[in-house]
Amino acid sequence: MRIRSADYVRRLLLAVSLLLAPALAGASGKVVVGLPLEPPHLDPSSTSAEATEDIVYGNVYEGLTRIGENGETQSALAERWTVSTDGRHYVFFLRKGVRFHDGLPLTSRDVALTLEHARRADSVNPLHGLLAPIDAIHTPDDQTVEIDLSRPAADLPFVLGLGNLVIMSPVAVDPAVHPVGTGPFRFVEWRKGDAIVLKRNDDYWGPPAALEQVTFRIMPDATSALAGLLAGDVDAYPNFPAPETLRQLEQDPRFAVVVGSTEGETLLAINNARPPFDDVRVRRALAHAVDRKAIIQGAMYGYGTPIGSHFSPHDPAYLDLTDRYPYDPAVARKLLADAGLAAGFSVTLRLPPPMYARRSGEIIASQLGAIGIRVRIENIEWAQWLDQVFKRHDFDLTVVSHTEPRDYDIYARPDYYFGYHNILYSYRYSQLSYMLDAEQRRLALQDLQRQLADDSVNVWLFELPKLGVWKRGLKGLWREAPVQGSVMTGVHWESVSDTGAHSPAAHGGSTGWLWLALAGLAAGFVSLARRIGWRFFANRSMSLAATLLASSIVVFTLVQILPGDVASYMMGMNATPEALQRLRAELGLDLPIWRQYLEWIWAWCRADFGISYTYKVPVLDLVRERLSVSAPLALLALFLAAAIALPTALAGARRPGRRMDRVTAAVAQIGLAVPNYWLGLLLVLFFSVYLGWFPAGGFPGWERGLLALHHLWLPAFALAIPQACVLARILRTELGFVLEQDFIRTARAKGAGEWRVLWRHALPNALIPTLTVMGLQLSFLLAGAVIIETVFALPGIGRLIFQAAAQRDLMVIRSVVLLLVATVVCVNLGVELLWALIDPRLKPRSRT
Amino acid sequence: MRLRLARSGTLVCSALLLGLMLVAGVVALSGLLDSGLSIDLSRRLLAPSTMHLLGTDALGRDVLAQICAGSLPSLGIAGLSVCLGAVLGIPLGLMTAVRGGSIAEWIARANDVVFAFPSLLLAVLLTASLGPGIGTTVIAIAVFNVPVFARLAHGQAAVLMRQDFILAARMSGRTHTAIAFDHLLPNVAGLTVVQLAVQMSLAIVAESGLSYVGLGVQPPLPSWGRMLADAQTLVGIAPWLVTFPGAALASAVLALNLLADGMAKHWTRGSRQVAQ
Repeated sequence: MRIRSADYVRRLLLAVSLLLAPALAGASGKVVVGLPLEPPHLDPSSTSAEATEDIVYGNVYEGLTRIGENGETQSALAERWTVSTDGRHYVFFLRKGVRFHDGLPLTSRDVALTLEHARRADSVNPLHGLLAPIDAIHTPDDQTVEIDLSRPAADLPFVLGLGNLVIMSPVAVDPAVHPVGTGPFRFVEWRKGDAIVLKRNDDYWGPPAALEQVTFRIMPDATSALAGLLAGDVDAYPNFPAPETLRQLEQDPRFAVVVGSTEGETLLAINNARPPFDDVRVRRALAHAVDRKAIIQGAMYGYGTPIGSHFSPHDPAYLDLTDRYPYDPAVARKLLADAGLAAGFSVTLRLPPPMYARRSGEIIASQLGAIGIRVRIENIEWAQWLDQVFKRHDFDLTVVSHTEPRDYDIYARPDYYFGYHNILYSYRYSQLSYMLDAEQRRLALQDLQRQLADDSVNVWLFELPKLGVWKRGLKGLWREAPVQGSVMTGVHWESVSDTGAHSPAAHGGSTGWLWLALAGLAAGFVSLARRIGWRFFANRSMSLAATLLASSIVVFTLVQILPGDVASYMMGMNATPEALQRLRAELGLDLPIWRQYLEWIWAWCRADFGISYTYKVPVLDLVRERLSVSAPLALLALFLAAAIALPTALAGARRPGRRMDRVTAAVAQIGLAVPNYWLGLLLVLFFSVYLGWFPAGGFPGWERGLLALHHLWLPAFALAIPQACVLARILRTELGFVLEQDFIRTARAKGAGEWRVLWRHALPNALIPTLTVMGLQLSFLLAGAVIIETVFALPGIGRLIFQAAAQRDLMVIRSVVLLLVATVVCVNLGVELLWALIDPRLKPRSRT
Repeated sequence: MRLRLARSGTLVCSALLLGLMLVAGVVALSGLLDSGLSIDLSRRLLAPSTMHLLGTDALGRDVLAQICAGSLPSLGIAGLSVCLGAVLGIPLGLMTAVRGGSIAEWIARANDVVFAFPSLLLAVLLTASLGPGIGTTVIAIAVFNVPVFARLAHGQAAVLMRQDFILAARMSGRTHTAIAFDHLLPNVAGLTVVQLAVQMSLAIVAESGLSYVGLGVQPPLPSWGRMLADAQTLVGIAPWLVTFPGAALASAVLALNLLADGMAKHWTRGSRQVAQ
């Protein structure tokens, strides 16, 4: 019986969710791909953000060459190329009939323009340094590009296939938000914080892509990634961020788990310039003290190949040096003693956000503790990491993965953050570009690896695995990841019946309703003001303005002192100081502080809330997008809270002090004590994991109709229950108070039934203070749901601010926080005015 | 009086529970539980058993030991930040009540500003600005407690100010400070203590929330919030990692709320007796 009633509840909820849901168009040839990070923008020529290349490389954009699945250089826009015998003159012959997505034909001038742009002295291209050997670029005709080099560069065809040197349409209006390339997919739209949609390019020069549409869904954490896969919202996860769940997924017949390798050398980076790490014995002691096997087991659940130097194991020139410093704490301690540090010392280990870093860091700290090194862990954001560690070299130790292919040049750079200087290494590295003979090159590369291991520059931990998880029917995804990118060209569904996850379609929105609401609010205020008195109203409005002004100063100052800066976040690891300076100037960040503040406030006065630094779209648009999740969630939670609180309080108040009253009071007491996010986790455990009734997280977008509501039930319940307990207690107290009043006795004397007395006489009077509390709760639910949004991976307002704080997008933080403050202040004012309207005693002295 | 206090069973139980948690925390930090707290990959993700009563986590640490060790940071940070808020807020509220005038107006405005901020978001911004850690967590939570205590003290003191004994004190020429601390403070102390317990329960939730999103207590110091964050992806494999730390958190909050309720009842009863 109980099961049936539970089933009934479930069906009821599903029915509510499905009500009005449009027929789901399940055409094959669509695929939804999960990505862990949202790109700052989509222009790969000015960022080294992995997320940008993940989306556009090989899909929207192509280069002269391309890197194949196993790291080989293949022809792409250049059909073939020749190199002179002295290795200093390359000729690339372009393919005929290639057109950009805007219809313009590809010519050699477009190629020359891209390369010239990238190698200019003021270029912000991350690969700027690798183009240094180029002397001149000629375009003798539309199909030929000649490149003259000042010295041989055997790597050139490979370099030209990398993601930052793709050929972009020269007439694209804004490649940062709307990329126009030559690839098999064209860009359709980008919904910030949620998804990027590509459609098949039917004019593609090569064999057309099998898929009609690719949607890259941003799944910012491991939990939502797993939830998305299990719920069927995501078809493929080329880089699954939660290795701990792979065993569970491997046993699931729906999924294929494919473990490959990346170019990501994960290392415990050491600041070689800072004592005591300037002593090679100390660095070697670290290498002996770290147990790679335990780290791969503990942090990566066994996935990952141990490495002993800075080189990918799948490269033909790889040399296994993992035995150079075997795990041996005794040897490590002896080395420390030799260096005069027998008593040990204290260091700080700064860890960026990825799971591999945070988990490895915790294990490393305990392993170093065993040889007497006291490690203080500091978890920091990427923006901070880039600023403190990468830019200012302010660190002792850090854990990070270097994902650029063939990036052994970094050890030859004098200004790199490791602080490593070895003339012999630099010399050997510079000789590499003269070596065209494969065997000679291989031996030279092995010398480099040996040199790094001898100097024990860093402690190399493991090669980051590429943990691919996708539906079994999906074929053609890459196992290996020789370059950053999720190339979708060859991807297809094996059987037509497998339709794939539904990708959300476009949703058009306008700010119209916002202005309408504002106008209504203003009209309401005016009519209120006429009834209450203008002086009181003016008084309150002045204090509202003063509160807002003070808040704006607080927000501005708080945001200004955030360490790290948005420019280095946007440009990534390879940005030059000049490029950073230019970007800062472009964003107006080089102005004096007071001017920045005044310009911001002046913009606000014109109802211009600024443009996001990283997304490059108006903040208001971002807020509107996020509000389409946050507002329904808050309202649903409030509705549920009221729906739970009202009967509970009434049942208790009907017979004060009796069993029902005591039980509901005790339940409310317990409900109050449960933190809403833990409740959220428990709901996930029970309703998603065990019963499988509700999705564990994520939000598919309102285009899927009220099915989207299905994703909001659990978070709304988690938010509602503690609020319901607050409401129930307040309502119960108020009811108790009202029930002692004379008019209740009158009603009873007239013979009204107990329910009628409660419902008709007591409740309306008790509701007024309760409604005030509900007004305040609404603003809390709108802004304060950040942790629930994290638990359920919902793209709401809270997460927008959280994410903006991580990216140091000051404009977004400032404006959104101030908008929220304005909302709260306005709600408070509204409540106050309502009270003034209702209760004449509260009316101000100023009226008389 | 002592009898009545003892008779209130929930009051005693909750006080005992909190005391037990503190003792467990001290025991854990004194090194007695170090074997349970150390990383040992050979015993990872073990379900609850007689060896490990509440199971072990992904790095082989004992969950019970971690919960014990996590209680001191949780209760300590909450207590510190609330006390800081009270120490700053109460004098502020009392002084503004005594002096009145434009200062009171200004402070009320400043309080409005703090109240208008989405508290958790401001805490997130503060910890991001100052760097995560215990100190910043205390500050971030304390900031929101200052206006709470200021308002409470001000509201009560404003009522008291109209009473005869204050008038008498003013007539006898006592200074503002003396009136605030000698006459008002003892009279607002009762409700303030109740509010301390209530605020502390809120602060525990806030601290665990900040730790959950990675901004509060930093490893290797254990924390209930971070335990929950680490457990999230393991919900399907190791449900004990989600249930137990959360239960510890909820029972601490519940104990504080019951303590506050009990004290409030006791206090109002006491004052009625005085009135009689």
